[in-house]
Amino acid sequence: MKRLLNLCALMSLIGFLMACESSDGGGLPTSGTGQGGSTARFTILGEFLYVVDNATLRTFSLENPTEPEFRSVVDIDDVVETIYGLDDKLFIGSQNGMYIYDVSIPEYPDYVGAFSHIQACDPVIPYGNYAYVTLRGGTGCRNAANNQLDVLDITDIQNPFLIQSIPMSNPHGLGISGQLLFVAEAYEGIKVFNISNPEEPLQVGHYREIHVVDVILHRGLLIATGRDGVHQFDYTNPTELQLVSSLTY
Amino acid sequence: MKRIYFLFVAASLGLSACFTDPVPVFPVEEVQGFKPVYAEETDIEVKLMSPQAMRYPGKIYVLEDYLFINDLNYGVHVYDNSNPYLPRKLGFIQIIGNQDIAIRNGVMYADYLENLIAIDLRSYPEISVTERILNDREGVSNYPPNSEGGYFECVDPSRGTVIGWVRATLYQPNCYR
Repeated sequence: MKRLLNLCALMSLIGFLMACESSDGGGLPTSGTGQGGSTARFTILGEFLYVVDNATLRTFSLENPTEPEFRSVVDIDDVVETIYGLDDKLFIGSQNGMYIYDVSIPEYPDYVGAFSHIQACDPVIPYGNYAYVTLRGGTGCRNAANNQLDVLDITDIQNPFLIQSIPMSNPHGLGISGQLLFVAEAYEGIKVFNISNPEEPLQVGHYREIHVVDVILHRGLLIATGRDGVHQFDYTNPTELQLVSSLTY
Repeated sequence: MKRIYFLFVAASLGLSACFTDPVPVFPVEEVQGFKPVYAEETDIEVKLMSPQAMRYPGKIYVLEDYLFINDLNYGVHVYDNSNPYLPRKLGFIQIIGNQDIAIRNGVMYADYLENLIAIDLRSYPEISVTERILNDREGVSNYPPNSEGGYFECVDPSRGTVIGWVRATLYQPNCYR
């Protein structure tokens, strides 16, 4: 009990608002795999967890879920920032470009291709034979002069090439649902593109009122996170996103 | 008692730093920035706590009707999002140094200081760390995670190992990036 009191005294002293007992709430889902945003450094494909960290890609087996086992590490000669897994491919965003690894043999990711560009901060998300990459300039993102959305053709996965670059303001994360591409534009909110022609994204909407750095599309909701909180939207009408709720901090 | 002791050490070090260190380079009295978190002065236990105020929002993760929102280097806020019009805060999982998570079959994988850990959530609100794998990467940077630049409290090696960074109001900071 004394220890408990000491702990509480300490917490209040340093200004944290906390109770000493855990919260209410029923059980969390005990099956299924969750979903991260495009700026994640962790991704799960099947029974394997892939983690990018600075200049490495590490693979862990989740065969025994509570005791993951390290399986392999791949060195990537770059500053790695994001990972996105789809089917048997990993799409890795780095400061110098996009890397694609094949995980047909899940324990050992195999390098298959890359697309290099000027240095920038850049998550990547695949879409069929295409991939979308945001490039963001500014301090902390090296010396990229441009802010843009790159459309890449990855039909030949060993040789991705640029189809076009669309000028952006300050693009961060991105996400796709159906034929809609959502791009987080920091202080300029969220831009919505129709990608029914994947080579020619057509801007159809722009929600400006919030700061957004990443998006997740989940169960018909657009979940956007930014400096002020997490905002959820109904995007049934992509030209006019409907705010469902905001968790502000 | 040990924790209290550390607090006093921390407080006295902090005060002495304020009084004795002039700021010749950056004439800033009070400014928002980052300060380092030292392992020796912090409760680093992984545990479920009651809902907490957000400090510095990080990445989000979704699993069915639940939202997990990272609080940079502190842990993960858990929300029940079954009614998206009214998400409900369930609790906060303290994971010092955390930035990323992934969840599969009721087990959360998270970066925690120098480690990858597995947290069994299947009996939530009872949670337990079931595995801990030491990373071979370098430790937490001696520079704050502010990609846009700004002031920060210089690292004082005598206070121990830096395990993360938190936003704070700084008084006469000596460092800037």
